[in-house]
Amino acid sequence: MNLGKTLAEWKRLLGREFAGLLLAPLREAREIRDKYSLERTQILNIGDRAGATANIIALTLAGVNYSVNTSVEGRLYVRFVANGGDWDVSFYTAVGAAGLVAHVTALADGGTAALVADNASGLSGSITIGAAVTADATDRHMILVIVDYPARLPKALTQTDGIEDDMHSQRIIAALYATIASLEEQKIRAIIAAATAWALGDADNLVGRGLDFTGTAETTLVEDVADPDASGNVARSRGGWLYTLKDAMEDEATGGEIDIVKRVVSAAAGVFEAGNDGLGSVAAHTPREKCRAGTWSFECVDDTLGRERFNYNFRAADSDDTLNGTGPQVKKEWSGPQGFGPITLARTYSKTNDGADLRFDAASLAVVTGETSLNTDDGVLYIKIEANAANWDISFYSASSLHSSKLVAKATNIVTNAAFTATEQNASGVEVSWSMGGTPSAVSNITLDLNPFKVENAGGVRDRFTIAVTVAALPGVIQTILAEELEAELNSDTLASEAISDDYVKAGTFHPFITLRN
Amino acid sequence: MVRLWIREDGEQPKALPGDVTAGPGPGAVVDVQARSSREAREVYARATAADVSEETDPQGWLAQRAARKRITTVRTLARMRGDA
Repeated sequence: MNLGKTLAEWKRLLGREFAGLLLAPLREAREIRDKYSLERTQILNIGDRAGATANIIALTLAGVNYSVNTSVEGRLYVRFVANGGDWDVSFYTAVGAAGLVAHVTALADGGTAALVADNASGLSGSITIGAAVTADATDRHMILVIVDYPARLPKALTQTDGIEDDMHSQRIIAALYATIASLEEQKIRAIIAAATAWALGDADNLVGRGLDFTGTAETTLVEDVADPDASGNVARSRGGWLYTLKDAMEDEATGGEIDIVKRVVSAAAGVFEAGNDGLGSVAAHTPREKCRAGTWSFECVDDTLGRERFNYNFRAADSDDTLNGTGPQVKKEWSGPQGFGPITLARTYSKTNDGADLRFDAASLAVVTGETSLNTDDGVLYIKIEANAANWDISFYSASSLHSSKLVAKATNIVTNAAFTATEQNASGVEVSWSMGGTPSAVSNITLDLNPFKVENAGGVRDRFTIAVTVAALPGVIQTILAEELEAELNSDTLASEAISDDYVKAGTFHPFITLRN
Repeated sequence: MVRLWIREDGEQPKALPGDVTAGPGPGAVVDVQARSSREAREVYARATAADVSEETDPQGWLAQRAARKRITTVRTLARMRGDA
């Protein structure tokens, strides 16, 4: 949908209004919420101006204890002193090189090293310095360390003045921090409600700013619901004003394609528990940009052979947020909430008595459809190969007796090395597509095991696998807020190619920490 | 008309405002007769695909020929690099 809007019109709507007036307060609320609920050590790099480029590119600190290994206010003074062609970097709690707490020695331009604690400071971390460092012993280069409140409790409540008082202090203050974080969550909900009214309208303004811009009539900001088909595949039906906006951003011909900084998300291949009875695989995939970092855990809740189904539980990487629901069915495509998927849980087959693949191709190359508990022996097919003149007949049975009443699939007159399809017999419903090996012979001792999944495996627990989702460094700030608070995503591009800068949502909020969480 | 930036970073061509003659990064710039950015990318992809054989796929050949007629180069790579 090409709206034919100019870049200036897009910047007004998306940059100055949506990001600057609505997402910016939301960003602030998220940061304050995290400050009272997480245990981060955030760093502001101040006065790093001795040269044309920054001396510090990256810095992490751990074990920070205000007024013990920093100044009372949380400052550290940084000095860069040449050491041959490299640099000695030192951190002090006061000017005049007083209160040395950590250092690195002989670090080359662009190098990374772990900090070495001095004077039993307890400080640790790592530093990456610039590619062209300038000497600086002016005490104008400072680090301001901001430690989240929960992490300060054990540093201050050291039981020096009594265990019981500290215990109650901890309880009361921790409860306060949880209350403050909860209040920020309420603020976030209020901002989202206002954003919805701004975009869609309310009783006093029937057509909101957003709908007026796109000329559409959505009634929600975002919709994302499961859309199953009759055969067990689950896609997603997505809509709402933000998805309309996303399409319009991509289609814009007058102002040029409109985009924000992207968020690069990756999902690893499935990791299956060693104690599972079932065997399978899930390939790595690229979820949608709104997918959150964290771990998806899948447990078998229905082991009806051929239609085994898993439930999912998602746990966010950096919070206690969780999500759970009905997950994938074996061999069916499944798309989850939050832009996860699509994934397909594939079976991993195994065979016996043909380890060198003389009679058949590797088990992984077989394709079996229609399997049930009635046409297999709990997932096992028994195979008989019989000579048919110069070729072969291949029969599959659901019982080791190989009785004709248990014949479930058969392929006849198959040439050595040729592909074949064993079609159903006795109305079994099962079909096997595979290939003969290079050295077949008339045998009846080979089995093909489909390794179905179990609700209760040999270990007495559900078969289980997990998938880790990660987000690459420097994700777009606007895109991250949309993903984590609205389960939404807009059209995006790589950093420095975007039309709508993240600076719109940063303006007037809080100082830029070296490593941004919000 | 849609102005496309043909990127060199592996991303799909990106629509630019009509008064801009260079993208945010290296790459050629072309004008495509299309009604939307999406359509412009489709036309460009068809125009720059491997040559379609008129004998074996006359419809495809016609479509590719029509797509190529809808593209005008604004800024080539050679010009961007300062070559003559």
